[in-house]
Amino acid sequence: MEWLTSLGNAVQNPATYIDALTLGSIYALIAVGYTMVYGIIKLINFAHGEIIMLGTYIGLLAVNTLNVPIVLAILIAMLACAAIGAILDWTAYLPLRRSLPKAEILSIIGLVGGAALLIAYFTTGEAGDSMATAHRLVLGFLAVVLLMLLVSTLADLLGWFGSPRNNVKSDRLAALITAIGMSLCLQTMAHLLWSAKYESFPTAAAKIFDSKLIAQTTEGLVFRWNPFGPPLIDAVPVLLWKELVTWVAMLVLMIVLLVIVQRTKIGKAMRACALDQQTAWLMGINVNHVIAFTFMIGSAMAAVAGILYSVKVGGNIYPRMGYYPGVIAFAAAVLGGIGTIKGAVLGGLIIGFTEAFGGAVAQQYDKAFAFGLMVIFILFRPWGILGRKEAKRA
Amino acid sequence: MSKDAKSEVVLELDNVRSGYGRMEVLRGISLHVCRGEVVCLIGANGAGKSTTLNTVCGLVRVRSGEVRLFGENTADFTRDRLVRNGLSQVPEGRKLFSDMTVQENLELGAYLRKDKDGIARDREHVYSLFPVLRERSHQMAGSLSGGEQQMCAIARALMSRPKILLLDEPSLGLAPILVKQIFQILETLKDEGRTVFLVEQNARMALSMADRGYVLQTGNLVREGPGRELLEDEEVRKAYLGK
Repeated sequence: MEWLTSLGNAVQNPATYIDALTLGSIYALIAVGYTMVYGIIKLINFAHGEIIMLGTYIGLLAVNTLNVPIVLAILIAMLACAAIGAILDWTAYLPLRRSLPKAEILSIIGLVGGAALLIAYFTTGEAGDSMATAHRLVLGFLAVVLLMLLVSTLADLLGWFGSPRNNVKSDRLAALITAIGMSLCLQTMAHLLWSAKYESFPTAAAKIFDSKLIAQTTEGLVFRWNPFGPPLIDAVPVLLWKELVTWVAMLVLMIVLLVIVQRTKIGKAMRACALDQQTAWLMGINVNHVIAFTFMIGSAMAAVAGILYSVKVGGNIYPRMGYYPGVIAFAAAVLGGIGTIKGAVLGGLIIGFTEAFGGAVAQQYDKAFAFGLMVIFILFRPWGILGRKEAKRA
Repeated sequence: MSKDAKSEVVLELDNVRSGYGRMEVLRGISLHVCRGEVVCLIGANGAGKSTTLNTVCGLVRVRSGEVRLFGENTADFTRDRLVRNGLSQVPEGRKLFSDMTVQENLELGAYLRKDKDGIARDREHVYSLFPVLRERSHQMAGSLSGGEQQMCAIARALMSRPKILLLDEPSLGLAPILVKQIFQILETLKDEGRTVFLVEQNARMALSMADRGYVLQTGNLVREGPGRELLEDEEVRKAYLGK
């Protein structure tokens, strides 16, 4: 019963709880982005993980080139990601929401998905490969055009276009596939821009975050409120500044978010759009602006989460870094009840605890525990903890 | 007609054709609503009444002809622009935001307005028109009864301070006593001098209160005239009033 002993140790060790809460806070911040977008346009935004990655790179760039402290870098990344989120919606998803003829929709899917796949294929050659990037891009572009033509012709021949009135379901599917395409596309862009090597925040910049807030010394627990003071070298860390910062960031941002959604005009418009977009238009609400705003908020949260995540694990900034936290936070959003903000926070925390305690038992399976919990839970309650069973409407 | 011609035309449909997919529903209809007028559109199921309203508010595209709001062709309007320019709709089936409170629904009705005092005054005004809504202002709109929901939908539409109010089948699915109540409210709106375009299946009620009426039959307008006149019209009586 070795695993039981490890679990017992983990339960008695405050470090596990601290770790769980930190992870959970990060997942909650990411899960909110999934859940809000799903709530309003019923789309699982698979490119959300890439927003995390872009936010982290932007934070890193800000630290490296502008020499700003990390806290300011987080703010810069939030603003930049808000813009990226809106651009993502306008370029990738908005065209699908307009009532385009089916052929155009399929062409867009072909364009985005195909472009991502082909660029990925043509640009991730061996290191030192002599084939010029421009050359590969041209080849890739030609292949995309061919694929587009092929897909729309095939679809036309097979009569996939259907009648224009009952295309709601397939429109959602088109958006979903586009999201996957955008995810690959952004990843590949990051590859081209920053290469695939691992990077991390410079030690000097991360110093405040890495310094100890509470530490165990031979004289007992020591509180060190000043992160700029001389480091406690021999002491065993109990609580680090970055952990406290993560909790506080999560708490503050969630309160701000709930106030926005419940009290402000734009928040009410967001809820109205989530309930009934047609009627929201009748109120004079420009639904597309509200959706873009939703993407902006979710993406800003993802930027915070990304930077705190890479600070937490110490490095790990690379083009595919968004995948794991993204997919786990998605599981958290589903567990909590997708579409509900409180559910996303709750789900994030639960997944964080599962991963931390599961990891204490079997380190390499920490993520499997998190997914396992989600899978088992949604077998019995597919709408999640706080979600509502979708009522069949006539 | 001569009196109408002098006053300002608020909404005008000029030889409008529209429909869904390959099906053409409206086959070139022309009608107009002047300031301060209550105009109703009656017709049987499937005649194209709702399509007419959906075409006006941009849900269904105009294929030929023009829809004009205060003389401006609305073809290039975004849908929020219609509301900005003074058009407000009470959609068929109420379409309240059911998981939001009555008060929040009213606030959303005033979404485009920025004059806080004016909004507060208008809210007091609709609460005085519908006292039951004041009692229920913090309840979820979905928890209201059918009649209350219809009142809430009308109140919400009034909150944008519209220059023209479109109503789509306000009496649909309501008990006769509630239908009477809704029409009393419409009378009040008429007395306030509001411009109303009403689409109704309940032809008798609609025609008896309207200044003018249009009769729609399979996508064509077959009659038009003052409400009282249509009420007396032999064919209209036979087809829509069951006599």
